[in-house]
Amino acid sequence: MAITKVWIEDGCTGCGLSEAICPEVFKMDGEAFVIDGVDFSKYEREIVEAAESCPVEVIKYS
Amino acid sequence: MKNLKTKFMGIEIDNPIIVGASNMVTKLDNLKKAEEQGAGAIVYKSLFEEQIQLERLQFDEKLTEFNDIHAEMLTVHPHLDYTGAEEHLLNLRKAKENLSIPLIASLNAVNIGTWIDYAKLIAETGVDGIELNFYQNIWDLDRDSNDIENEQIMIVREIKENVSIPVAVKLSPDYTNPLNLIKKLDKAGVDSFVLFNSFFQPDIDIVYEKHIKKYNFSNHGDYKKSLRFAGLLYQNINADICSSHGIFTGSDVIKLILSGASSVQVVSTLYVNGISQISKMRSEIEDWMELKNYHSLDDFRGKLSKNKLNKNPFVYKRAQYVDLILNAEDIFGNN
Repeated sequence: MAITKVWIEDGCTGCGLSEAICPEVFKMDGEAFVIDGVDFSKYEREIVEAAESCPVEVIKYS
Repeated sequence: MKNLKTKFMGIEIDNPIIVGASNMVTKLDNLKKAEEQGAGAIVYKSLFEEQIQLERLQFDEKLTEFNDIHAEMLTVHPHLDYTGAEEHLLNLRKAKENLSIPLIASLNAVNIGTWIDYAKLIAETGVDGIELNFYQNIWDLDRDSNDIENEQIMIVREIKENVSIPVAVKLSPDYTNPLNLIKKLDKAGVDSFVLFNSFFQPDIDIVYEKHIKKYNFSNHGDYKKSLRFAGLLYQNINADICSSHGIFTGSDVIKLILSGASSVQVVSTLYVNGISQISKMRSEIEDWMELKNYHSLDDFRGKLSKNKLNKNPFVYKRAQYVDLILNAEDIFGNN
């Protein structure tokens, strides 16, 4: 399944883990946010890793 | 306000909650936030042998294998190529300049030359102490455990001779008798023992039949082994005891201090609950001390250690386990 959408639900603790795993997709500004205009298909492995590693499980993708 | 002052590596700190080495505390914003939330000290992310070697050599393909990553260890993937040792030293210096609380560097090397050289370079950055993160990813069936321990003792001796700042050792519990190694390292001059570190272990995805790596966090309550060892070591070594692994709340900190720890390191709870968890933990400790009418940590430190329970150190012995098994039905019911 190709990833076409990535989003962050409420509850991010701002730990910076997503940015550490995949800085091409995630950025921090107090909390994590998804960078606009990224071709997610290039970073699918990292996006999944970030989502699975998120300590509060707020990173979602489809 | 209660007096939460204590010591880590012989350095006086304002309270026992130390932010352990992790990727979280590499950014200046987070370092400042941890300070504002009342951290007693901060251990900066570890400098790894691999980073040092990468600066000396071309990228080694072995690094793409699963190296040691954990909540405290996410440094290897995915962008190690621009996080070299020199940059790390610069960042340490910058962090030290911007913090008023003690900043400790962490070093995780493999070769003895690297340990010594980089301990000296780290000391020159102005940090308050060095934590030696001893972890060997053992894969050699022929390597004798004595060799490993003796090498670690030698590393400590050499570093103590070459740097003037305090030295802590962070150990794994995976030694046949950690107490014996700790005793020997204590004699070699270690200023603090951080018990225990934890590392990534690879898992397997059975659908794709390949190894997977997932960021590992400690779980709340994983501190039990640290609790026991703090109780066994209290007043039996010169170094102070800093407990770590699975310490999430102020109540956890209280338990570790009752056992004999002087301080604790936290990482996973900050990932899960945010950096503001530090101030909550502090408040919980103060509230409990108020309730118990304790004025300082010294009033209750080690109260439940083996030495203080010398008439009945039951809890630290095998008898406790045997009793639990023999009385399991009474305790847990027979379902």
